[in-house]
Amino acid sequence: MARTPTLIVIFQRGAMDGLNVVVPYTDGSYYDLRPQISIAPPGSAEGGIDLDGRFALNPALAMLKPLYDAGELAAVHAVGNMLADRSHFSAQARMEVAGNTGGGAAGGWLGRHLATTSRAAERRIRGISIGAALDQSLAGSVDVAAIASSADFQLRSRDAQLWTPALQLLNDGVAPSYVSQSERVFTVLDLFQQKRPDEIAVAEDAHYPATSYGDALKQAAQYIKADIGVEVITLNISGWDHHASENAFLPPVLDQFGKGLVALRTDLGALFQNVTVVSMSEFGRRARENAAAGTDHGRGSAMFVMGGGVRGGRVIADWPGLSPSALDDGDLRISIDYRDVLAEILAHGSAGAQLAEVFPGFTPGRTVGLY
Amino acid sequence: MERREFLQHCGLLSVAGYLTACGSSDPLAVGEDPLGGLDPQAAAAPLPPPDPLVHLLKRSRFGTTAADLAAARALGINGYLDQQLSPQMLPDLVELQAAARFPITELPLTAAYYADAFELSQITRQLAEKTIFLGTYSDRQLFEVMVGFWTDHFNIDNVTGTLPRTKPDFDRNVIRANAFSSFRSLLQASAKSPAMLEYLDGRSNVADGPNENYARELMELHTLGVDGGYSEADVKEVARCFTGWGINGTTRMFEFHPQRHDAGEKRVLGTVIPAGGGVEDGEAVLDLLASHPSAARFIATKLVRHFVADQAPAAMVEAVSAAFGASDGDIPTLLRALFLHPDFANYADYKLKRPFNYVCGALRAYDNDASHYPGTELLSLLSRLGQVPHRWFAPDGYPDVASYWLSASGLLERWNFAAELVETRGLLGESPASALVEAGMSAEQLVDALAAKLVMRALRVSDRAALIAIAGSDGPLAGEALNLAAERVAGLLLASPYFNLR
Repeated sequence: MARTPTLIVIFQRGAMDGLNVVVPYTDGSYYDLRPQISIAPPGSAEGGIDLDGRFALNPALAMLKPLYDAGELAAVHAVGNMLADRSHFSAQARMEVAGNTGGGAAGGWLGRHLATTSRAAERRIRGISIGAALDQSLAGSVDVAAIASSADFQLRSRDAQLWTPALQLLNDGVAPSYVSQSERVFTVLDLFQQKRPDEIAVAEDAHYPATSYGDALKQAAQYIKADIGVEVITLNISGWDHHASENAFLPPVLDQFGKGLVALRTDLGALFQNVTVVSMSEFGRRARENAAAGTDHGRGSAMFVMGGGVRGGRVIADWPGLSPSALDDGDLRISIDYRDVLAEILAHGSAGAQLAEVFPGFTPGRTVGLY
Repeated sequence: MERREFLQHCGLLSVAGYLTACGSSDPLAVGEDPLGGLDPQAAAAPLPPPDPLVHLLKRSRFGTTAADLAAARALGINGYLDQQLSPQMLPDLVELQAAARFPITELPLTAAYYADAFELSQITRQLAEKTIFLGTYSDRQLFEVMVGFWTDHFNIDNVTGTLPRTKPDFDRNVIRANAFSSFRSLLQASAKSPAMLEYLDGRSNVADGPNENYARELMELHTLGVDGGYSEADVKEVARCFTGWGINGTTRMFEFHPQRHDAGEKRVLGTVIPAGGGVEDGEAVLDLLASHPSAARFIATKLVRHFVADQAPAAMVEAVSAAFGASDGDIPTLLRALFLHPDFANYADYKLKRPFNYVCGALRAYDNDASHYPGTELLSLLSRLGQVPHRWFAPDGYPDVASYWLSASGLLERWNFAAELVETRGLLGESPASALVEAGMSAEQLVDALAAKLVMRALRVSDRAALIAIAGSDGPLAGEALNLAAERVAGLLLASPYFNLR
């Protein structure tokens, strides 16, 4: 039986500064706006790593260049949610809910995708949010579970055989969401009992960062390698909110982010062909730096897409420019809707994707051309 | 249901058999909120409601013992609230014990500034433990609940970088000093605290290139709410008003630096802040925000969401918001308006205990002896549950709705915590479950006694029958049979919705 294709969604919480991650080094305004924190052009000391003659990777992401060169990794720039405001919390929620007018839809975009492609009557785990709580993007499907750690996911009572039926009885008939979560616990316990994902070893040459993000990626690979049938995995990396001293604080989080992607790619081996990874952040940062050598909340940012079928080695952008008249209230203008990127990924991975229901009211803008 | 019948039906050997025999037929049962909210009205077999006083205790405290309940009954609802809202009238022995047990959290600001990496990690650990210790054992329960509420409202993590140098001062002199004062005093204290000036970059906000971080969160999270009626221009103007606010290099206290202040005219929410001002520009903004109707509504909504239901009922928000306006945000006045509102009693089982509440509540109900405090191990258990105190990194504080906390991992780890607590050689090795019951009790008596002590409400007939079947056969229980029965029934009650619902 063919293996289930898996989509891994990485949310970079805190608003990644797309301008200092995929650097528009040929746009002269970039250097005018950021005298303290700009990344020097490729070829200079501590300069960026050239991607396509227009954009350069932040040098802290050097480890991604081989994936880019191998055609497995693409960047999308000046991308974002045109319906976002500049609040982290409401912008993250709007992006994960992906309704047409900010809120206005039940559940999240991945939850709706799973609910509208549900095939079987029997319940199984099709989506996993790695963490103690479910990511909002997965809400709206009953076939999803938040799992902080597959190794810890066991009933540790020494009376587990008695507790299991007793808890099922005690939880039955209370509020439906409570009953449903309780049932999901037992579904996952059974699944892990059969497949034992936590016992799958990491490939010898794969080195995940020793952080919760690195651990989440490692677990994602274990679920894929154990063939538990999961279609969507969400995980998070925080630490992107650099209002001050950005060049001290951005490189370490980029280092973690990039090393994690490389480790995942290595660890998955041949299974990588069946996997797509996409990263997203709630908005970008103000084009002009502040006096504290940081950046405040902005608009457009960048996304990365990595996967077996992806036509990588490209920076996809309708570059709006950073000249004063091109800016959107001081920020990088959004020229590609993030939903165009996600819709293309869903359509590629699943022939039955119901995009009109996943992204209600959304009119596709542009063919991004990821595949 | 007889024991034999229960075991046959629900199958110690066959979980799959149980699911068809006893489980609900369809996990997609109508009424499930897609965001996972709690809707007790959609329950197929609702729990018998708790009595109104028990409901009040569940909401106004982290934990309640049988003795706490008896004392509250003697006082009545008004007397109980009077007592809890005057914490200075309640003994503070537990606070003294906490100070002695977690001494590094008492370091003054100036001394804490010189803490090295090891001491910073000690501050991180000890403040988290002290918060659990007080939340569990203090008799000033409503005070501790409000300390938790404001700690989330003005969230600052106690892990990142050098934040642990200032966070204990913030906990003592901002949150605890003002948890029952007025919202205005609390807001002012937070704005000038070194911890907040550090966390939201206020100290690097200068005239030549303002930093908007504090200005935005001040309006979005601390006062008006994201839909409270401010614009992007207001964010920029408020940032200008606070330029020059900083920290003295020697005392590490608040200090205003006039040379970094933008003294030009500003306009905030339609009000002109005239040119030529200094520190009073920011102070005027705080006053404006503390008196703003959106702040009254925002704080009222958060309080009602915290104490009543995830979907804050409009009539109660209205009442608490009106009390805010009439009392200039006097916090005890807001709490009385909330707890004494005629609709309050209608919302039993609309809230899920958050993990911190769950853990402190289970510890207190099971064994309220502070000398049995289990120690640092609690932090790793709470970490699995996702709510170590002062370890939420974003400025919005730990979420306050069941849709966040009611997850597969979240529920399983609560069951595991209950097991760890009651099973032999568990978290409280010195406190066997049999201490909660008496030798010679029948299985019925044991279940009723544990239900009265731990969940303080009637059980559904089927639940009671199943627990009696689990407790044992006919006849008096003693010795190891008594302890095993007590462990199983106490553990399952603490793991059950009776205890998880708040």
